[in-house]
Amino acid sequence: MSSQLTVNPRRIESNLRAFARIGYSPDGGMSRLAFSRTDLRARQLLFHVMHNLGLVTRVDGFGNVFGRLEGTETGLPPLLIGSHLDAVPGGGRFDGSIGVAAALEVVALFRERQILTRYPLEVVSFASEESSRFGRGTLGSGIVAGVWEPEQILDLIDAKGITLRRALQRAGLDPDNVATARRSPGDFLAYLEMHIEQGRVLEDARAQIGVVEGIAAPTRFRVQVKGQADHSGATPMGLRRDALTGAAEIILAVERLAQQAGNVVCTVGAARVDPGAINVVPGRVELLVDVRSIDGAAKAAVVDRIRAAIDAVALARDLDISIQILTDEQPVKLDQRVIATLERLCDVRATPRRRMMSGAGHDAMHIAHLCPAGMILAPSRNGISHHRAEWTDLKDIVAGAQVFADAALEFATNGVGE
Amino acid sequence: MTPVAERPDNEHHVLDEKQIGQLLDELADDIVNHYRESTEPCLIGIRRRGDVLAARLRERLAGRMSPPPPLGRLDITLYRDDFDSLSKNPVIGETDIPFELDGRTVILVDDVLFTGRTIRAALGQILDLGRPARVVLVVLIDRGWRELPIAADLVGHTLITEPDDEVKVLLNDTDGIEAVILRQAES
Repeated sequence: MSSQLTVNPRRIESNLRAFARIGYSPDGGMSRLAFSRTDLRARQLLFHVMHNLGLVTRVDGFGNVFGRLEGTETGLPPLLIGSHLDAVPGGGRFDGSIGVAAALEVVALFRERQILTRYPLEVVSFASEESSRFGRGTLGSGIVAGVWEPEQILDLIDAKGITLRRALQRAGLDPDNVATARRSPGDFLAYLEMHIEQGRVLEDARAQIGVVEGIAAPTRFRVQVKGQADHSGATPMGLRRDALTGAAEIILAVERLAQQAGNVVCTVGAARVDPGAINVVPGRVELLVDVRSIDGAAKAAVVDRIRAAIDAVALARDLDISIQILTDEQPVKLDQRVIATLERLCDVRATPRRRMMSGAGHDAMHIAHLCPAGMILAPSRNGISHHRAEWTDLKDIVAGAQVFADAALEFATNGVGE
Repeated sequence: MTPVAERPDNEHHVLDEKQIGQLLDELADDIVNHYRESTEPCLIGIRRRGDVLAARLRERLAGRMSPPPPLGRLDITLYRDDFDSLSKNPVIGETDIPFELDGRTVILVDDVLFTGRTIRAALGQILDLGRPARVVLVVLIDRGWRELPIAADLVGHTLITEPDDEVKVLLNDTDGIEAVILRQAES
């Protein structure tokens, strides 16, 4: 039974340290932007570790790295386990890396204990999971799952004006080959990912493992508010068309509508005021709005209400307001059988768990289109992530990796079930 | 490939196939004498000629070191200090070290030691991939003009050169010919 497997905390820590050495500066956090030299170095290290664990390694057309351990029966789809190794600039050492370290620990245990499972096992590190370089995240898993075609992303540009196409070429990959990375439903038995929570739910609940039931997806839009820029001294209050006071009403409406909806979170994360001078009535304001939920219908309803609120502000204040949708993704529900198994295995290990939604996007939300997918989350200290202060205690990582390994053994032995 | 005999006046044919073979014999002897007793020795050659030389050294060590040191290949593209100006694109997986580096004695092998920058890059990568007990450097040719504080532990042959001279080690496996060529800079 699965309880015979015990993960090795020192080996997990040693792999995490090895990845953290690449691109980490003690004061500035990580520097491992997607397809950068350090990102490739980290993937080269992964390649080396997988090789030494006896895995058959493969880099696909988008630079996703796979390592395969064969099962006892030929022709069966592999259980896919892993996460990503790219990092947000100035981010921490745990985001993505703990998922890869947990997957490597599963293989190390299987090799050490000479466990052969019926289904093959594949460790994966997806490329370009973070959106910090190209403005869109989970690119590698999105390509694998066919969520978007290569042409829809190859012309994305980074802050230096470098296209994804060029970044791939500089990483030794052929952009014309990206389509070959796409996989089909049935290619994988299931996908399991462990990740840091990036929130405070687990810490507040004193739980060690979050079992993810669904991954929230964002709808993001840009709101352009146009009024009239005027002299702040010479323009009477009644004659003004102040874009910023209109924007302020919109910001408060967004907050109120999210609070009323309950299972939707909304953020106005950026506001740009033009011309932005102390003696000028603001003529133009741009807002960036992020709406997320695991309930697609609830999210759409809130977006509709926000639109109505914006129309009302435009009418009342005589402003020209336009909305440009940046992304509109559908929330993903993870597999009920996988969730049930993960919860049962938490209970076998007496590890305090909590079922929860993931507010952040992950590779699992795309791979869930190909096969049953499940995720567990490890607590983030103070909920901090994407920052050098990001921290997850080793004991929590080990507790998560233990259940992760138990689950991998269960699924690779018995399949996912009916 | 121009035959060695027909090379221009400023090209000197420094070593031929037989001499290269003799140098490798001597280097293999030295490796046995110096590192036979060291902790888990392994050979790592720097692509794309150091790896060929490392493989040839390993053949010569077979039977004299037990077990024979395992062989790895290093592609240092991602670690070069002139990375951004490189035309060659790095490829994940070109580096192929099918054993753990922790605690080992790494015998690093390259064809020509010049500025030391290649070796610096190789050391950077080796230390990312593991924590060897010790790294030693074996080169076929040391041509001087170091730009970094790096020295070889074992040297096959030392060449007196000018900084703008070109030293090429040509091997059957990569070049279809066996020779060491010194091309002197036009003055």
